Amino acid sequence: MLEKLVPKEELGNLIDLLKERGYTVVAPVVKDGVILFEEVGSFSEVARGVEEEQEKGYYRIKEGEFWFGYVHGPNSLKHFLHPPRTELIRIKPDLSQETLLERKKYAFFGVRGCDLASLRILDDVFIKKNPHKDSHYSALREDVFTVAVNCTHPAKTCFCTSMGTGPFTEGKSDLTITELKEAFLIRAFTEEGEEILEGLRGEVPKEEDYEEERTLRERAVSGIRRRVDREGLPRKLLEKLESPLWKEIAKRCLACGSCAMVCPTCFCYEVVDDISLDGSESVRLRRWDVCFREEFSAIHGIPLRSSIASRYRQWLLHKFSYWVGQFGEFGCVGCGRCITWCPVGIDITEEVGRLLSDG
Amino acid sequence: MGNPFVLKRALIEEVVEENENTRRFLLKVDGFSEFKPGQFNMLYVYAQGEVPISISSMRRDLIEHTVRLVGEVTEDLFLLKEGDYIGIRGPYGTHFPVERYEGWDIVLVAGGLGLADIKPVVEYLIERREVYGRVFLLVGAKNPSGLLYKGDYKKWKEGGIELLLTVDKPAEGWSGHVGVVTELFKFVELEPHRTVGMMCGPEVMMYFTTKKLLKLGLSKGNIYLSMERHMKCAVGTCGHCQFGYTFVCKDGPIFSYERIKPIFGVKEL
Repeated sequence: MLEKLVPKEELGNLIDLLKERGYTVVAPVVKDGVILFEEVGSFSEVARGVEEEQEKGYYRIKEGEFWFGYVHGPNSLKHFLHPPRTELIRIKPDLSQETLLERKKYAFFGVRGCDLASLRILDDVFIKKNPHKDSHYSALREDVFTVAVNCTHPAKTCFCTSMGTGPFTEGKSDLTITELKEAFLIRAFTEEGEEILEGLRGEVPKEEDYEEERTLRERAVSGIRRRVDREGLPRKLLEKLESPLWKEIAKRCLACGSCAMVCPTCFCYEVVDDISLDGSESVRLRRWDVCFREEFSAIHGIPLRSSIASRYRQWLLHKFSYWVGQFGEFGCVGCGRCITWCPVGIDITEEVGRLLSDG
Repeated sequence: MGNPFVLKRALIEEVVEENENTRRFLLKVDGFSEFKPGQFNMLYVYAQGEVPISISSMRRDLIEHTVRLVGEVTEDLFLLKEGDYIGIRGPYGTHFPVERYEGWDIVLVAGGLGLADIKPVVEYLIERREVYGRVFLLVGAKNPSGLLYKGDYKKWKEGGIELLLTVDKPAEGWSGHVGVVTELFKFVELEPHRTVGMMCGPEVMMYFTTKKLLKLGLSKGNIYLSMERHMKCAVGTCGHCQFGYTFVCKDGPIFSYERIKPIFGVKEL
């Protein structure tokens, strides 16, 4: 592992170094009043000096002292690796077929611990724990380079400490940045990460830099108040399938699917045929779908989960129970997006707590 | 890495009408992989989409599917004729583990179209009849015209299958049993410690059949069900066929009752 204390004004060069290596750089930017991951051409576009206020059904940005004093907005890396719309295959009436795989070499800059964990989880779904490897996801995923940022200013909606994904991220990315007051402490965990870090001006960190980092880390950890008790959770929730609480939650849940859209691990999709006007070609597409839609579960056109209670149960249990059975780990990374972006402010951590205590 | 959505071309060699809304499609597919009883394929009708359909025969020369007219894709499939082509990919999913039960007695229970999933098991057992004990096949349908594969019954009986039929509503000329399929168990003598149950049909039918088999003394691990959820992709990524902690397309469709006990029978799950 290589580590360096890099002056703040030097960081812009990192984006240039990534671009020189042929990466399409995706980084957080400020757009439409929120932080969004977007492709950037230079460091000047990257969100800097911004803080967020996040609460149940509430999101605002404001100016801040730290460059990276924010966490994340509504979109996540899944928008790039499992895009809202993906062409699967093109078919002609004689059933001849053509696959046009979109290949990308993405460098994700400013990735937080929760979102890094979501990459590992999506890898399991599409490749690692699936006997039918997904060529489309792989083509976008294979060359990914990650520059993580350790969170020093977690949002009030964050609960990464419960899910074991943050707020610090050592060892799971190519490069990891901790923002100190006067400089960045950057570590490289891969060979390519080291090569890139070599190209940045900097010095050997001193004991006081580590000390400052420890203080920031402790402050971040203690700032995360929301909790999910993971101990035995998959089994405990499975015992709550018939709880009356599902109907209570359903009185507030609009079944709008916002939570699933902003969730960095929700992967479900619909497959549709997009037919050319003259009928000479049909493009099979996958489009994100959400289990909150009544038709999602339909068999022969008849919805299986017709009540909102059953759909919310499906979503919550998938994240905290079913996923463990399917893939061996939780489907939730504790990013808190579903809490922030729920239009009626349903808080998944509160609901899990209620189910466990009196459900 | 190959695209998992690539289809093979399948020639519709023969269409057999089973009843007014059910047809058998016999497909000629070059180089189609080996398959086992209980597995399914995705059938694609150009510009309309795919449907998951179980393979309804062990014959290898032609791949057989029994299709009921229930939605947009099957509606278009029913417009196609012998000589037309469709797309096919598969086989997918788990199978009825008949190979694990040589020497055992076997109870097969089918409801309605569920017989399409059980027929390959029947054919498999007839091919190897001497290595199995008694084989019962209990078939229920709404009415006599809902009983599929009537032309095969004689062959099955001659092959050593003890076939019992019932219908919910009799029609002119029906002299057989009337009632739900679980009532047929009164005609079956079971040695529960050496009997395996395998079933396919509506969930409520499988729910009561499972209860019955448990009551008769079969163990949870020796009862197998074919579950149905909407399989859109068949490769475990679209999420539509989730059934609790399983994906029906890759962890199923055939499950032991033991595997799904905590979630089976829960409403809207």
